[in-house]
Amino acid sequence: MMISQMNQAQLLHWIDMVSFAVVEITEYLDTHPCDEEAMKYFNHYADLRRTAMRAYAEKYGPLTIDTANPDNYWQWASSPWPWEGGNC
Amino acid sequence: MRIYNMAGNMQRPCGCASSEPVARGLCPDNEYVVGMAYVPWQNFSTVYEPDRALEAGTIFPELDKPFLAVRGGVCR
Amino acid sequence: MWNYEKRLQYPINITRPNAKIAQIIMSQYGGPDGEMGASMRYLSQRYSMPNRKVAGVLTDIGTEELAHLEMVATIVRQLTKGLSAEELEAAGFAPYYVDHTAGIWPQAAGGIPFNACEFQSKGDAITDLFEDMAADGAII
Repeated sequence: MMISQMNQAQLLHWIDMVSFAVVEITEYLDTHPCDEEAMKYFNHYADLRRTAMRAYAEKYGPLTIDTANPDNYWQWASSPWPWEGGNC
Repeated sequence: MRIYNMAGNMQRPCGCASSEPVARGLCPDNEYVVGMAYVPWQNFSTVYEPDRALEAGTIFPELDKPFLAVRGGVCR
Repeated sequence: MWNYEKRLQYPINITRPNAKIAQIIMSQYGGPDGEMGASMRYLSQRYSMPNRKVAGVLTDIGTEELAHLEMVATIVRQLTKGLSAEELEAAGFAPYYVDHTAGIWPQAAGGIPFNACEFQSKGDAITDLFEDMAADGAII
């Protein structure tokens, strides 16, 4: 499924998956800085994550300050926090 | 098997006889002193798909260990 | 420095509160092998770590532990949310409730407050890495 077709829950699940892949390979690369296969994996998932984070911010509000683009209302601190069931 | 030492250098495979259980992957002399613990060097090979990885808590199948909830050397 | 990401590393949606379980899970927040100790262990040890690779991985794993810390707090919060004082007392939660009500406070399941003595930072690469391996084995 293209991320443009995903609903909020599906897009968030996608973000959780690709972000986890990025975290894991980051920690691997910290101790294996010359591993080209691992760097390919990193680049692939880091790119998917960037795209998905931008798409989520545009449709449902920012998950990071870097993807916030406020217009007439500051959503960041007013939408529910993760422990309250927001973006979860 | 490549072994990583704490000084940050990749060490060459030592070529010990692999038939000796005690020597498997470890050099008895020089490079590996007694009284220290060592972990095998991890390599990038097969990884889980992202959905399975998120559920397993790792992208690396070799690190996907079962949780047995048994402690203190108790075997069942 | 750090930046916050407004999501959990893994989603948590608890629909049935249970204070009894909350009291046990709480140990993973502020107990001896909890995420608070884990994050502080890695993030404190990295300053004196001479090896570049290890200093890097301590930073990134310590950061990931903070995300785990948030997940555990979320579980405890959702397990206790909306329960009355009577329900909490019946679940054995009264000793916690009297001091913290429904607030999240780092302690072990047995009520022992979080303490920096749960981890070490010795300024010695080998010593600290041994501690990390032992701790990670305890936590999984």
